[in-house]
Amino acid sequence: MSKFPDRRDAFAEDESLRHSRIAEQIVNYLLLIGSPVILLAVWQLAGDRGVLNLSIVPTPKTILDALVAFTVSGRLADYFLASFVRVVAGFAIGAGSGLLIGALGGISVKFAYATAVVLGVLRPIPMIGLLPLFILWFGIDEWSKILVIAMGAIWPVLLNTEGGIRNVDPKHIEVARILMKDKATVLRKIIFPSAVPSLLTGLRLGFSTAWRGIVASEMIGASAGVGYLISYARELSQPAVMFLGLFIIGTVGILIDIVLQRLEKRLLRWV
Amino acid sequence: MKKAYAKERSAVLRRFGFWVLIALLASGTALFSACAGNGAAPADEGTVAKDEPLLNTAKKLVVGHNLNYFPVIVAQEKGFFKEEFGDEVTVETPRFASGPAQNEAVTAGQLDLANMGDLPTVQVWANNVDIKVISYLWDLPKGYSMVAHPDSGIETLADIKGKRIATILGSNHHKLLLKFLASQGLTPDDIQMTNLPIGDAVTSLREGLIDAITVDEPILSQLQSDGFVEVSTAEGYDRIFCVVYGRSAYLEQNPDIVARYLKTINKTNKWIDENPDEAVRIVAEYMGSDDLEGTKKIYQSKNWITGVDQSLIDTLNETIQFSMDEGLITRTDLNAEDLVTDEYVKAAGLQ
Repeated sequence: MSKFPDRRDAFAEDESLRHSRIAEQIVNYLLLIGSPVILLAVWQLAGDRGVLNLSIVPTPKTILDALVAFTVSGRLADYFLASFVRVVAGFAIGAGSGLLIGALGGISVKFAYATAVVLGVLRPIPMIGLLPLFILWFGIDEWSKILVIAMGAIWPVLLNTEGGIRNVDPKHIEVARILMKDKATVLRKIIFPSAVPSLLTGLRLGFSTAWRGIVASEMIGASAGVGYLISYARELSQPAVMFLGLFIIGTVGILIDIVLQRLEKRLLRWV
Repeated sequence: MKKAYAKERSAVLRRFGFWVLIALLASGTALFSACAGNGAAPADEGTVAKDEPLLNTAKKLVVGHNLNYFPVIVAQEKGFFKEEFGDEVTVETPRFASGPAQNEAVTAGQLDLANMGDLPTVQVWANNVDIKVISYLWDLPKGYSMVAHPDSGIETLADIKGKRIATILGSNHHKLLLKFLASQGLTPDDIQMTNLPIGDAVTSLREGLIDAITVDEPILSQLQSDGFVEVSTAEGYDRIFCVVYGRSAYLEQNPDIVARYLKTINKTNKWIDENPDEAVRIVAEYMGSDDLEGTKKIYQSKNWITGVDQSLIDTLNETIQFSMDEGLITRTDLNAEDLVTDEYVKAAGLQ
C-alpha cells in the first residue's frame, strides 16, 4: 500500500465542483441577459397584438426607431453632450461644496450644530422644487440648470464625508494622541485617509444623483439635453421619444455607476 | 463521483428553471399592468347594454380648456351648462396651461372634450389617440405675433437667425415660430429654441434673457406699449384657430350630450356678443385678473364660432403635412377627412 494518500477521488471531486460552478456562472449570465430579452419580447408581442395602449406604452421597436432617427440626425449626440457637460459642472460644484461642508461638519462639532437646522431644512427639498426659484434668481441660462444639479449632488457627498470623518476608529486617534501627534497630523494621516472609503461612496452616489437631476433641470428654459428631449416629447405627444430619453438616462446612469464602482475599488485597494 | 456531479447539475438546472419562471411571472405582471392601463376607465362614458346600445347615459362631461377661453368659462360661471343639463349631467371644466397639457389628460382618459389649437390636436391624433374634431372654438384673424426685445437686433424675420427665441412646445405658438423660420429658409437648429411657459417667457424677454417670443393678446399690446418690437404678425404665415375635439368613445356613447354641449356654447357666444362687458368681468374674475381692458382685447381678437367647414379640414391637412415635414409626427397615413365630423354640430342644429 502506498504511503501517500490517494488523492484521485479528491481531485475528481474538485473537478466536478469546478464544473458546477462554471455551470452556475453560465446560468447567471444567461439570466442577466435573458431576463431583459424576454421582457422586451413579451412587451413587443403585447404591442403587436393590440394588448397595450400604444398611446401610452409604445413598443420597443418604435423606441428603437426613435433611437435610430435621433442618432442619425446627430441630435442625440448633441443632446447627450449638453446634458453631460451640465452634470459634470453641477457635480463639480455640488461635490466640492459637499466635501467642504461635510469635512467641516465632521471635524467641528460646533460647526455641525450651527448648520444642522439650515441643512436639515434644505436637504428634503427636491431638485425640481428649486428650479422655478433658480430661474427667477439666475435666469434661464446654464447657471440655473447647473445649480439645480449641484443641489442634488451635494447631499450624498456631504453626508458621507461627515459620516466618514465622524466614524474614524477612535483607537487610531487614541494612538496618535499617545504618540503626541499634533491635530494637523492626525487629520492628515489618520482621519482623512480613514474617511476616504465613505467619501468615495458619497462621490459616486453624488454623481448618480447629479445625472438623474438633468430631467428636472432641463424641464424649463432648455434648448437641448436629454431632459429637454423628454419635455419636448411630452409636449408633442411622442411617448416613444419620452421612453428613449428615460432609457438613455437609465442606461448611462448604470454605466456611470459601474465605472465609478470599479474606480472606487481600484483606489481602495489598500483598504 | 459521477452521481455527485449529476446531482449538482440537476440542482443548478432547477434553480435556472426557477429564475426563468420568476422572469416570466414578472413580465406577465408588467404586461397585466399595462393592459390595466389600456383598459383604464375613462371619465364616464356611460354603460352600454349587451344587445341594444344604450346611449347618452354618462353622468359627467369633463371639458378641458386653456386660459381665457371665453365661452367655456362664461357658460360655466353663468350656469348655462346647469340650465341645459340640470342634474342629468354634471359638466366639469378644468383649466390647463396649454393644449399639450390637455392632451395628456385626454390620453389618460380623464377629459371627454378638449379645446386647443390645430397642432396639438394633430399631435395627439398622430399618437393613436382616438379623437374626433367636432367644431371650431375660435378663429383668429389677428393678434398673434412675434415680439422682440428692443436690444436684440431683431427688426424683421430676416434677423432671427442665431437668436434665442422662446415658445411653448407643441402649441400654436410653436407652429407659428416654425412657420416664421420656414419662411426664412431656417430650421429650429438655426436658432436657440427654448421651451418656456408664457409667463416665464414674458419675464425672460423683459429681463433680456431671451431675444423674442411669439405671443397673443393681451400680452402683445402690453409689450408693444412697453417698447418691445412687433417683428411680424401671423397674417400671411399661419392660420391660427382652435378646435373642440372629443374622445371618440365618449362621442359615440353620448351623441346627444355632446350636441347639447355645442348648442350651449353657441348660445353662450351669442350671449357674450350681447353682453360683452359682463362677459369680460366674469372671465377676468375667473382668471384672477383685474386687467379688464386686457381681457377685453382677448375676446375681441378672436372670432368665437361653432361649426365645421371644408376650410377646417383643408387647414388641418396642411398642419398634418407641415408636422410631417418638420419631423413633429412620423405617421404618414393621416387625413383630416377622417378626423373632422359635422355630425354633432348638425345634431345641435347649428348647421
